[in-house]
Amino acid sequence: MTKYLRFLGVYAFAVAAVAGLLLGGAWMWLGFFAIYAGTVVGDALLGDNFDEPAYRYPRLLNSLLYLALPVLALLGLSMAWMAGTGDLLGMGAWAQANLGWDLFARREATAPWHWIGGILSCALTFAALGTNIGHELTHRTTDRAAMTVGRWLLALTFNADFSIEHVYGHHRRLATPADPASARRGEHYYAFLVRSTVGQTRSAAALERQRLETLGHGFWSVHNRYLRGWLMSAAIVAAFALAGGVGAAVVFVLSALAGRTILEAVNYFEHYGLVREPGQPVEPRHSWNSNKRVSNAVLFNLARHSHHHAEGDAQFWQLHSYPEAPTLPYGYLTCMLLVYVVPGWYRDRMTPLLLDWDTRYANAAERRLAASANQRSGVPALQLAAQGH
Amino acid sequence: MLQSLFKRRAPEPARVTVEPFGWDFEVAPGQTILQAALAQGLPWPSRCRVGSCTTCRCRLLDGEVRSLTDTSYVLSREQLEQRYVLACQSQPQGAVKVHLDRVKATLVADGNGQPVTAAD
Repeated sequence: MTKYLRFLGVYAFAVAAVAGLLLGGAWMWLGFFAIYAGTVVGDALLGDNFDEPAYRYPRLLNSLLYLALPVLALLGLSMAWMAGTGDLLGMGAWAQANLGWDLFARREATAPWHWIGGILSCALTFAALGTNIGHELTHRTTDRAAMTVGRWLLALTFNADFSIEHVYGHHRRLATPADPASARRGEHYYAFLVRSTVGQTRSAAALERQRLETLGHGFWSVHNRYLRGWLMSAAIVAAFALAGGVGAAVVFVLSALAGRTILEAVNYFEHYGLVREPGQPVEPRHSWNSNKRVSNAVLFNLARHSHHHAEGDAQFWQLHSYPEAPTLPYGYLTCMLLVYVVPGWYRDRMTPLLLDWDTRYANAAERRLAASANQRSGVPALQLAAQGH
Repeated sequence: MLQSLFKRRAPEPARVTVEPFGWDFEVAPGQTILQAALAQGLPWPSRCRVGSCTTCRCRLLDGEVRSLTDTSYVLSREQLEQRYVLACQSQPQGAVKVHLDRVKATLVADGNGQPVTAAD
């Protein structure tokens, strides 16, 4: 039973984010602190989970992904109500009559700076439910419903084109210089953030352009999934503006942008510094793996990343733990926090792990690539190792 | 009739025939053509196995496959018109016949157990 229930954990955090927004004031930080405290402390205390249970009801697990839709709708309505004026859909009157919850007073008590916490809470929820589940669903390239829902989930962070770039770009160019979403040795998170964001959207446009040419369509066409993706995000901004005015639209845009940086933080540490010969098979050693219990429960096994890249079409409940794969020093949310707050420290923390990777995991060709990456890294300890090569 | 509508047919292995070599093997449900071919020890050319390098491409002569990724991102218009598919991304839907243009440059044993060099 717990093997199913654990994937509900992320929804508990999302409910905390919604409750925090509707409580207003300093409570707006509730989602943010609940998620970080829950996952960072949880991973530290509960450790690893290498279980690979068989599931008799995969459809149940599947429906847990789609549960994101109503929960995100609830979050969106709460954002629009609290950032707007008036009484959107009569929510305020309803809460007062049925729950005795005075949303009007809560909104009155919320100052603009309280929204920093609100926006960070929304960004984390967008990343966990939008980006992460959108990622899982858009890997199902032949399932129309999954692709449509997945792309709308990604559009919440202005990133519907991830459904193109990630599957047809990142998975193929993984850990090679051609992949904008693989962090290079010595690269700082904030430098990567810019390079990866720009590089991925350009790559998505180029991939889509090439596909449209192959099919005999022009770039400016209704068949263009890249342009349609941007229109989806524009539609969401417009919906927020209609529901709650400029304030709601601004809160959404800031949450979406902050949520987008979370994806890049995850991209950063998932493959930081790893190298692969272009054209050679993608192996489990080309990702940093994690079997931390809470991270995997909250992120639908995303942290079992070595298997995900070695077999991109495996469903989240089928992912193997690969305990022998190169492993991250901490759980996902912990790594994320470190990457944001102390990016240089995190980079140095990974140096001995990279040197270990070069010795224990790399093949001969990769060792040569790693040596030249070490030389260019600007990290003294890596450069020293390259000289000894 | 209602029953046939709601009851999911038990998935069955699909038979794949490969021209011009006359290879013939079964692909289990959920397996790709390439996975099954390699499991048989056949010298099917492949490199990345994630639908990128197109080394494993073959031409569909008969039957249908379900492609795990949209091959219009990697194959050319000519190749799509000629019904090329990627073996590493293709799950056969029933019996399938494909044409493989070349095999892996490797030593394969002939009928007498003697190694012979296959064409690339």
